[in-house]
Amino acid sequence: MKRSTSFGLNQVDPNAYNGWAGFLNGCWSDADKMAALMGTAGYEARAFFDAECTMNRLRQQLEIAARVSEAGDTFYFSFSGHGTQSLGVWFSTEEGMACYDGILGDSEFRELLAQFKPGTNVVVDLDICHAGGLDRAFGQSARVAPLWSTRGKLVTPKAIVDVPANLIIRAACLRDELSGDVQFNGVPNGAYTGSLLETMDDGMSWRQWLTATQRYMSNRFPTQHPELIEVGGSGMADQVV
Amino acid sequence: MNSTFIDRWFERSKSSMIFLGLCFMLSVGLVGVGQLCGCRTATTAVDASRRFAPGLTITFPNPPTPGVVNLLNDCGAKRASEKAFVIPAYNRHDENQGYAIHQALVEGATLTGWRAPP
Repeated sequence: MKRSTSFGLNQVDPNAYNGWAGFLNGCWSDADKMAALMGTAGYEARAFFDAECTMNRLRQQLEIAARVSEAGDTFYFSFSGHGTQSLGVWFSTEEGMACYDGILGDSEFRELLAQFKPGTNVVVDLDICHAGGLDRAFGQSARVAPLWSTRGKLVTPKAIVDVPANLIIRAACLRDELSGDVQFNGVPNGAYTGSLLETMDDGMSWRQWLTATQRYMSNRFPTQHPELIEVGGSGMADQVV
Repeated sequence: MNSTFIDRWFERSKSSMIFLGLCFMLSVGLVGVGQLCGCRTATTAVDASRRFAPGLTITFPNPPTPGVVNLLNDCGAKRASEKAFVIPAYNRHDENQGYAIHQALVEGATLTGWRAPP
């Protein structure tokens, strides 16, 4: 069984963010089109928008998917909206996803993904600012990136031990980068998700798809560098979408 | 009339030649049919496993509201049941389809691939 859930937030609840609504334009379109794309690719796809995308909804969706998924099943999750980066312990940074009613941090995200059973396949696309920083949640307590770290100094994690599923995360940008909210032929989309849609071709693996997207974005959105984070070395990234 | 060597040889071997000819035609036919079947099977297998479905089935948890029904009708979707519509040819650049799909998703619809029945 293949399932897909997409979150798209063109705004957040100002009451939860000190009056800031964080308006964006392309996130609904991201969620719509990724859901449709995954539907045509054989997934059972759903999408949620704005006020539906609460922290509890995200938790619930991942918990349900983890509960019903068996070995061999694939779950795809995409999140388009704002990402956050804040100062953590000892000059480290902590990243998170801006849900409608608050920020879901990278540590909790890891715990949610850790519920998937061994042998299940999980793919996460994060079209948010600082998306590459979400990888820190996957077991590298020693991987502390100081705020002044530059792109060249960041270390991509090799193997993650505490998530039993075959997991890959595709991040729209590196930890210290921002993700663009742009237009493709007059239609709003995230720069990353729009590029994913432009580059998808029949029979591509998850890795090939991201490589094509990286190449596409290097010309059109050169300030954004999508990255692939593989967990466990299961070969998941080389499976056909 | 005196028969030539060729005539005599032909008379003697006629039935054998006919038999060999039939065998040849039969084998060519079998190989051809086999190849056709093989190709068709392989193509079908690739289609089923890899190629994206051309269309989408939109399944609602409850009967969709009249507004969404109108949007789906306007973008060429066909009603498949009380709670399901089919878009036979999905095109992400079609803004009418995009808006109808968005509203369907807002109403809790699930999207799955759709192919024309063989």
